[in-house]
Amino acid sequence: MKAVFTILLYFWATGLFAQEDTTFVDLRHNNLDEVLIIDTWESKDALKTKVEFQPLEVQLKQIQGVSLVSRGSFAQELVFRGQRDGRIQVRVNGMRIYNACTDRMDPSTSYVVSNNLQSAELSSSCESACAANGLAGNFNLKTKEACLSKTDSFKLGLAQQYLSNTRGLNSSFYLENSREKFAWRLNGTWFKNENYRDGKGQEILYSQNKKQNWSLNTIYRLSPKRFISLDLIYDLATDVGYPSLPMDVSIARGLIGGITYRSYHAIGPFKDYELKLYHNDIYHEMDDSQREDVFMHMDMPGWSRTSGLSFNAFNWEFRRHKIEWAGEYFSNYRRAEMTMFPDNGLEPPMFMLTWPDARLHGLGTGVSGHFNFGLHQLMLNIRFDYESSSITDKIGRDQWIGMGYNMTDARTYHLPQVSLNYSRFLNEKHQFKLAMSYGERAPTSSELYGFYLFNAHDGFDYLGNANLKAEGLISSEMGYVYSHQKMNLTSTAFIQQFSDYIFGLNTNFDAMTYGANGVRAYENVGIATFYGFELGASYQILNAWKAQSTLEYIRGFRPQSDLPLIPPLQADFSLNYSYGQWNFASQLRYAAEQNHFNSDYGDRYTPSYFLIDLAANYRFKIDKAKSLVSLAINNLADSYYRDHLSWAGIPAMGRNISLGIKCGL
Amino acid sequence: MFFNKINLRVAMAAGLLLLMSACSKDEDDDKQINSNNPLSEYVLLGEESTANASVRLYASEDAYVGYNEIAVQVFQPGTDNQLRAVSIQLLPMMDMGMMKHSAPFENPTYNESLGAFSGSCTFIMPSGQMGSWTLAVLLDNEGVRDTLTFPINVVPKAEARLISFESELDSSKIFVALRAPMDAEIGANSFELMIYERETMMAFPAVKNLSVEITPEMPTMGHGSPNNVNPIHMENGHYVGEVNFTMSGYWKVHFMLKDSSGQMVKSDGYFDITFQ
Repeated sequence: MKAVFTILLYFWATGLFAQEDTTFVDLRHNNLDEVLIIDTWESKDALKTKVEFQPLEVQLKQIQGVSLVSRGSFAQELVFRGQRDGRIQVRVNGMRIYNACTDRMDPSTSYVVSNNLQSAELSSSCESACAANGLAGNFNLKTKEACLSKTDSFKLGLAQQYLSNTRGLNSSFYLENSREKFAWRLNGTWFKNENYRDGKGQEILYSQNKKQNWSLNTIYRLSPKRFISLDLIYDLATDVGYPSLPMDVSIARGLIGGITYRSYHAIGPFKDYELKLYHNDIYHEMDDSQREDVFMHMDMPGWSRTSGLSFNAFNWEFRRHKIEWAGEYFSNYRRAEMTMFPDNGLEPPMFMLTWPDARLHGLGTGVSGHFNFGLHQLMLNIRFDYESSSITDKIGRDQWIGMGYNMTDARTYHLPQVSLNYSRFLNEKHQFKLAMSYGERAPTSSELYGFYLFNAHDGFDYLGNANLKAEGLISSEMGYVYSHQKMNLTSTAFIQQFSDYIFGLNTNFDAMTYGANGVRAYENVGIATFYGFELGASYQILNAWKAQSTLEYIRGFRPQSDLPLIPPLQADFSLNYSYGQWNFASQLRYAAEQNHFNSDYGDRYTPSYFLIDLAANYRFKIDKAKSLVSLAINNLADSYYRDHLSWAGIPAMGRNISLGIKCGL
Repeated sequence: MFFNKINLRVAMAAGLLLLMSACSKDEDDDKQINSNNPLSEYVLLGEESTANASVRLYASEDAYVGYNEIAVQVFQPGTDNQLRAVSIQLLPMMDMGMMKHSAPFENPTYNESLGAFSGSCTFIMPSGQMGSWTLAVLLDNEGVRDTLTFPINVVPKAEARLISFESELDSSKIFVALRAPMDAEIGANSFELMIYERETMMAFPAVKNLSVEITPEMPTMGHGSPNNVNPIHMENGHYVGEVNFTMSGYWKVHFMLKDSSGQMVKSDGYFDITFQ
């Protein structure tokens, strides 16, 4: 290992080391993470109302360690322990999806709507199993599945919600048919929001959005122990405003499909396995025609197509140990163009490829072993990936040859990942855990071949660097969990050190974008360090009362300077009460001021803020229809605040009252 | 190892395919050489004969103000036999009635791949009411001399390919012609300037001792591009460098000329280059 092992500064700590090796947030059997209840149809807990109907990203933020980078009120980008983009991986039903927008306006999370999410799995670099290879964390969003049933049955659910702040309407339905051998489920969601208003009542221009999402899941039983299922998602967002950026989105379209074959017949020593074939096609079109102060209009379409084949074999069991094996192949094609139209009528349009037809091939395989020695448990995970990427378009190659690069050879990366996770039950109440991992990742298409991609946060154009080396990460975490009857305490402390950290450095080149501050090019800059902790506590006061609280802290820096977009210390406290058919929830959210920021990279000092949310719902029946009315008030005091991770310092939404009703048959 | 094996197999398969396609392509290649003869892309400016020789005069495109690639074929009269041993000199001439002047040129030498003598002529003004151009081809075939004169219609280009100015140093008249790129593309382009000065109305020798600095600019956007290579003198007034166009559209390539002692000859000249 080339990275030097620095002194491990462990804080009093712990983990959301749930039963599995990943932080698994299951919607039906929730324990600690009840805040993240996404099942809008069968909510059993008042906490659910607090966040239900919220966009998916906002719900995911409730998971410890997760923050959001927002460029507006739509499709926020997930951040886990300060890491995002190429450093974490977000899959949907195990499928890789690469965004088609050079500005990351379309993260993978934007293709799953909250009322169709079954569960969200999150694992840190130390906890990841062999099926994923995100360097600093992995998300897998699972959409709801149709259920087979002995009795032929139909289910229907409808929901409608109104949001006061954006005068938004959010409608959704699902229809599910279950039979013994075949079942399907169709989920549809539409929403439309106008501009939102901040805590001072000011309208945030260009923050509107409109979207529809369709999802179909079918499952067919080939034999008692073999199933084949099909997943299809169609997502179309139009007229999406991004107040932090100089332009909006006119169309963001995703078509995502996968076929999964699952067998519970043994294959070799493995008891069951799963084979998945998938493809997705993402199209994205930016639009500046609604903006008034545009220097020059431009078209910026982007395409991303990904295909993949994955194989996972589970449950090679011996004694109390278990081994699983994963293998996958994937291929991604990305292209993004920029055409500028001078309005003097004399000059021809100006054209360039901002993603020059980059083709990425990846092949990976890994094995995870779960070794159980009673009070001691060990998980060992080893994975190896081979990635190769090249530019397939002549103009694209010529652009980079013009920049002085040799473009005849493909860029190839050999990427090892290994982690070791040890946990020990001291007794029934106490569990202690220690984990370490080392991994490498290949640079993203933008880091390799991005051509003058404008970053609205720091105002620089970013140039890729086709000679980048792989980035390495050595990370370690330590956790402690106490659970006893009504009391549950968790803590985790982590430290992560990147080597050959990929970061944009100033060049003396001219910026391409009008008004930009300059040009930065990606380089392997050496070391970057992150450390932090997450604490959680919950207490069931009485049967009807429950309190819980979380606290998160992270620092991220290079030897000379702080890194940008690092969340401040954050805490929340919630109290829930249920009475008969009524549920009540309240939450206090606090973010400390952020003094560690990097103004060269677009950051600014962010003051602390404190928010109050309230929610109530009432459950009733009309004939056979289970119905629920809910009222939620977010940011009750209408506080004016800004999240440190919001680009260009736009203020966040002020008071928002949402009124929802839903019923299911 | 696993990947190496796969790579090896793929490489072998690809190699086989390549061999097969290479074999079948061979026959086509001969034909292509004929149709790829660069001279077939040239424009015939005229054909003149004397008792000793007949001459065809070509240019790479219709004659324009700027650097023109000239090709000359000399035949034995009445045959298709080219005379390759002759020596050829050019003499461009602008007749303006009251006065005459010549222009910079490079005498043609025989070019095997072109199948003709190749040289250049840099017309420094367009034909028109002011006057008309002729280009004389002077042959010397082992002492047998002939002069064939071709009238040439020189047109200006929409984007100037030649600029002239007085040296900031000594007021001598300097001509700078853009030889390349003729068809600009996104990415690196060869950038070549021809630099001459007017010694007399009849003599326009190459200037060989300048240092040239270029700065491309997209005036509409107000930005330039990185990774350009300043032209340096190769021979006979050819200054060769590289310009990097990061996108298509309208570019302005500024240049600055200094003499060998670093004194300014031209502080800001430029060529407009627009391509799609």
